[in-house]
Amino acid sequence: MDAELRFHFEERIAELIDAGTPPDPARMQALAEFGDVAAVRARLVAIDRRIAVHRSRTERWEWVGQDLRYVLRSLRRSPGFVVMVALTLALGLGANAAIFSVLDRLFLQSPPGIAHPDQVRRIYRYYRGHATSPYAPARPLGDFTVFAYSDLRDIAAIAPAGTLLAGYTKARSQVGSVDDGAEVGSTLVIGDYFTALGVHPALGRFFAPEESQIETPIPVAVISHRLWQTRLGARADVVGQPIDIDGRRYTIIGVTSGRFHGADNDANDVWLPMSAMRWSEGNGPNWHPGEATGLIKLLAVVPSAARAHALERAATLVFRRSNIKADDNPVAQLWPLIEATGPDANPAEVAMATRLEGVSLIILLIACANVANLLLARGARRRREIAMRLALGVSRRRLIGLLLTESLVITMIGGAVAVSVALPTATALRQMLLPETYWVDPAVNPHVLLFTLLLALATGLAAGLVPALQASRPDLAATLKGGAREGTFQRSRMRTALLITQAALSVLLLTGAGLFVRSLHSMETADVGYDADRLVFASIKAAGDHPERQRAIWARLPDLATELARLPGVEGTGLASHIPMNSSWAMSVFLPGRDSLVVGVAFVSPSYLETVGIRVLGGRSLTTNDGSGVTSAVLVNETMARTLWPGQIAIGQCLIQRARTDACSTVVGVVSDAHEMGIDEDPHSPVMRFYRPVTDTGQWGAARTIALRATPGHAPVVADEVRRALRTRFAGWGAPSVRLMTDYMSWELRPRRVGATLFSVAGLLALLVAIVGTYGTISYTFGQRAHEIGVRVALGAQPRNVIRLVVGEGVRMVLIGVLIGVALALAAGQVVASMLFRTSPRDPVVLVVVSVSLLVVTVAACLAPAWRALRVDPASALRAE
Amino acid sequence: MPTELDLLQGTLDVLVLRALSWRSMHGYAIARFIHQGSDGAFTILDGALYTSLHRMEEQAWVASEWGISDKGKRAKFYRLTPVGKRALRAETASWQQYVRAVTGVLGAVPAAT
Repeated sequence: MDAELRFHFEERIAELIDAGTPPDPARMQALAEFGDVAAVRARLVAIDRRIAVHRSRTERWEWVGQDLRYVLRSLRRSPGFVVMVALTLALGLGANAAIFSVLDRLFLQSPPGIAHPDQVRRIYRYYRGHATSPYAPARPLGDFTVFAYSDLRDIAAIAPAGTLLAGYTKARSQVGSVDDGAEVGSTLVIGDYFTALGVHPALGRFFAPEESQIETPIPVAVISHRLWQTRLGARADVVGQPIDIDGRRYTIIGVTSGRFHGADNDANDVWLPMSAMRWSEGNGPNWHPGEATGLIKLLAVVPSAARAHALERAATLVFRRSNIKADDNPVAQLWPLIEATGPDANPAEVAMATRLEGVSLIILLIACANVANLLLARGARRRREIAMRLALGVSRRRLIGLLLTESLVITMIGGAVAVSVALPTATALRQMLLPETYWVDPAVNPHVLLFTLLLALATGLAAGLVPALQASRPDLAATLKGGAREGTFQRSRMRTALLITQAALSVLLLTGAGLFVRSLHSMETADVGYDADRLVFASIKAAGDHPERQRAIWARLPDLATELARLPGVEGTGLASHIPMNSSWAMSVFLPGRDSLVVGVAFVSPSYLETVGIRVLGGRSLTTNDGSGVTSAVLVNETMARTLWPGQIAIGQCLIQRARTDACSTVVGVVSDAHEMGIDEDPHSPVMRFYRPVTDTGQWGAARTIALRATPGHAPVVADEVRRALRTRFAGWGAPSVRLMTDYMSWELRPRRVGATLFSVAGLLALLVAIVGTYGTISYTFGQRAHEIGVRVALGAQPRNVIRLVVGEGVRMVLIGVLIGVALALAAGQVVASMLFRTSPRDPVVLVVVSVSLLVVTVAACLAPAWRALRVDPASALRAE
Repeated sequence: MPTELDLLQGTLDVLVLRALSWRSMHGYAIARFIHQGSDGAFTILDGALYTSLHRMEEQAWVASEWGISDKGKRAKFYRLTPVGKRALRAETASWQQYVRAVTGVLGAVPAAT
């Protein structure tokens, strides 16, 4: 710019001088004609600076455009590479997107249809006074997430102004007639439930204040939009219509709007006033709302942070007042609405979901390593092209930009594939992981898309940066001098490191898979003490929960059991007070001269033990003459006999039930151990348990369940048969529940089956990626070394020497990875220990099998490159020199 | 100051664009061209001319590059861009319309009422 002005003045002055003006006046005139030089100069500088900025910005975009065009052109030339990389990434990103969509629902998203979920708080109670475990310092003790109605009432009385308080408790209810209805989720509510959650009725209204009290039940119900649509034909006049819920007639007063299904993640279709509890709990003088409603969850909406503190103080006051032991020191705390983020999280769900997120990140790491490896190989192949560009004066920064653009473009392609894969995967995954959760929205939402995009960007940068840096720094002279043949062979330390990483991570995932599979197997084959796959349990719930009606049904069970025993396919029937693996009881007993102790107890009919497959090991079984009171004859299980009377004969010993002053119950037999509480009863301290005869109807320990033993393979048929028989028998009276024992055990097996399946899939995917990585690296390395191999063969190397050379190279690398992986697996075992059943997280069999199979697979992956190396023609290899 | 007519900034732009519509020129040549073309009716401060040139470069009406002048010196040459050509057409048309209007008013006689 100064040059431009200087030129101007020189020209003007020269022209004036030519015209006869002396130099000094000429200069004066030129300046005068120009005006304020300094001001103009400043103005020009400012304009030029703007021009420069604009130009460099345009240039940068042009670069990006050029790079993109170049990258797309060059990628189109190597479709195999693109497909390989995109698939690897799609795998890693897809797994993450799928898992994230589950985590998102669990941890980040409030149940749908709630107006301001961030304003709704849950009230929890902490016991601060007790020392907590060093592993979970904030973990409170005892019962802290559910409360009694009286707590809600007392808190409401002293809560700060403007606070909305609500309580609710959940159940399953039969909607429609007893014989032909559906079981749906139901919620009993009290207080400002719908107002607090900000829900509006789609039709009708919600509970009025006089309906939300606890004293007198009023049969009104609010139903979900879904129930209205699916079961009630979406009729516009549904409000005011009757609906049968648990055998009682209610009036529909409202329908909730759209997607709302309560404050939790599971489906809910019916809302009733809390007072409806009174019908099932009995209407007698023993009705104490404060005690009967001991299981309600509390919700609060407070208008400000200051009021929130005031509410915490108020609730703390209430908890302290109602607390029996003063030193428990309970404290109220407000937590977010999303349960998984608070102390009420379902530990199994959270554990499984977070472990899976870990697994999917490992898969992504493996995929990332693989892509970096492929990019390095590609960079090495293009060394000459890159050296040429650098020699021609392309800046290194520009070149790195180009190479990064390439890896980002490929990653984005992978990301796009991943999202399309994630949708079906996530849909399947969330059904498998969280079957109780009601999924309203599609699995892939903006959250998941954003997460995948960011992850893809990070992956593209992570996988592309090192290869780009390495590729952009070739030894110019050496590469260009190398002529047509590639530059001299260099073993790439980076690629070896990536391969080792892949192998190590694969070992980690495969070990996880092995552990889960072994754990599942030992759980499936665990001896729980029953012939589980032959057993069916039947019980009948009285319609409307009428206590008298229920007792009448129980009274009929003995006759019914005898009758059902005659059905085809039924080998025998028995009666019990409980359903094993579903419910269990315990009580205090005394031994003469010893302290009391709590042991498990089961009330059974004489034929029960034989029916379910509990064996009599010594003495005799129960008979109909053994009485039924606290002085009846009893059987003890093996563990109890061994623990209480070691080295003695248990038969004939005295057990005192109920009170120390009661008479002896004589032990008449010892029976095999059988689980009552689940497959996973603590194996280190087996449960002591005794069996006594069922008591008369109406008492504790009366028969409530019929156990049926089917001939092998006929349990499902028998269950159907029994269900049909009971339906007819109790039409209008009660709802029969007939289930296979394996159904009761499946809740324990299911998460483990899911874990085993998912870990196996992850492990196999990792293995696949690792094989491809090994194959690629070894192929490439020996492709580079074809010349060397040719020379070796020319010098008389035998085929097996060549094979040993190639395979040895691969195995050496993978072996290091395996060793690191085993070390990692040993160190990380504790993370999954709690999810394993009778399987050590350091199970040697698993570690050995995983290591050996990875090495075998490596050998297999190296054979093809070895075979190719063998076929190098020594003559042509030497001629190329 | 030897200004006989005050020129509006936009007018100067049109004149510069017009100058460049023949061929690319350096700043000094543009100054001479305008001076001669106006027959000395108005003289423009050379500083204003350069400001106009740089501003139009920012608007991408003109583009510049360094070249060699007739006398063999290094000089910055400006040329019209396609955008600049369009701008010249538009500005010329509106200028002529303006002149016609003013001339019309000046030549008019009030009509009898």
